[in-house]
Amino acid sequence: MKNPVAHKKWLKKVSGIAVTTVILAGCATQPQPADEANDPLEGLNRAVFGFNELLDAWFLRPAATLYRGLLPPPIQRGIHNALANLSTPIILLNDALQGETDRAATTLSRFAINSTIGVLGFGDPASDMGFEAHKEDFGQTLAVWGAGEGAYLVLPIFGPSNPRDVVGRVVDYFTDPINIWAHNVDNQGVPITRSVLSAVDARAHFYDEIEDMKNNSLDPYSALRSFYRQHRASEIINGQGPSSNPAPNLSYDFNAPSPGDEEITEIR
Amino acid sequence: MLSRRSFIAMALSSAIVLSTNSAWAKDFGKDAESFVQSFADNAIASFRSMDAGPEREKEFRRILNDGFDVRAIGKWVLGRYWRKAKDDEKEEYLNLFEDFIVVTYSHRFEGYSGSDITLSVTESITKNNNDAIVRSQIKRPQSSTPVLVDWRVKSTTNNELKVVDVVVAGVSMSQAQRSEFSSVIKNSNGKVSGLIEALKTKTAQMASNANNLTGE
Repeated sequence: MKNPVAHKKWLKKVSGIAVTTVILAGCATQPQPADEANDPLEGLNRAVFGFNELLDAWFLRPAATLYRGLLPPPIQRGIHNALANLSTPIILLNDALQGETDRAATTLSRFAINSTIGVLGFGDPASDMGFEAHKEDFGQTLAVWGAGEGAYLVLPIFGPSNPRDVVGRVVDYFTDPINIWAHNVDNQGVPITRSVLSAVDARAHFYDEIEDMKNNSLDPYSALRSFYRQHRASEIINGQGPSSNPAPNLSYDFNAPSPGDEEITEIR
Repeated sequence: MLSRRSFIAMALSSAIVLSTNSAWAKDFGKDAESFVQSFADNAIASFRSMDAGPEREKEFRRILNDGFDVRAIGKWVLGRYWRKAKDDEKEEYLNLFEDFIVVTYSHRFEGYSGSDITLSVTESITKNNNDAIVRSQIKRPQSSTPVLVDWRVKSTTNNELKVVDVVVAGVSMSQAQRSEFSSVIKNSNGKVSGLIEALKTKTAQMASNANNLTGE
């Protein structure tokens, strides 16, 4: 490494941010009505959300539009698959950390099959063979270990998050084999290219859904907040419904209030 | 001779036993499964043959009210503000809520007309004899991974089955709508009238967008 001191400084900064956000989250647990998100920094979050919307309008959306216009759909799908294949080591690690042996075996098989028969992950023959994709990350592992989500945060560029998922992101970054390799050979170009490509791919992949949310919402900020929090809650329990073990924060938990209930939420 | 009190107690407890009876509840889950399957099949068939324009919206509204308890959803989505709303506000809100759902979702499903999507019910989880969750997969030709959709089905007071919530990939649409509406109300000083205004503006804006599109 050329400049170990600078690197350490940066690491210190990142861990400083993580610690601060955890502390902030700790302060923020006040009792609230059931239908309100834990969002004590809403003012700041809305400002960052606005900034991200500008970034999207100026860079990401045009890039995704071009990407969709220039590349034929099979190529787009191939790139999407290849990027997903690159993240299987992180999924495998977190499957293991959560004690999910069956899912870890699936992830391992997917990586072996798709990296070889699937030609560096561009194809996804593993899915056809019954090894279906799933996602894991260290934020989910922390949740499985018992960490709460804490206050809602909107990060510049990265978007919706919370203290737990910020820590998760940082750990994911440093445990990713490609990033470790890039650090060792001092090649920052690879991780940066990969991040930019992933961002464009994700924006293009969910293009219609994202435009739909922006156009059809009365308040896109709170719509995205609800989507993110619910989606994470569902990912953490691996998409298992109420049959296995009902999570109290899950919307389709039978014990949670739902439309058709007469007792509206005033008491909760 | 049974005393009146113990008779009532017995009647009550047997009613409780009956209402939690698993055989009954299982049946409700099966009923809910076939309800969702046939509702979805019909809806997909109508989307496929639907024309653009006001006819489409009318048809969508019919399908919506046929399968969903729109008023119950609207009421729940308003959450704790329901009780704060005045009676005429409640009525106006419920009507606007239905219009809003029709405009946003008929727009959302526009992309599906003509394409061969299929819904298959996979299982159901039953709470009791009037509440169940039906799990399903929606397959689209352009994507190899199915979308997982859960339907919360309840039986209404006049014994009709109605959907009260749709959970797409773990995200409850009612819950998302509710947190959005509550945020709009909070930002207009806790007044339901603020939400009513916002709904009016949004619905009108989207309806005129749709007309412009079909006019071209």
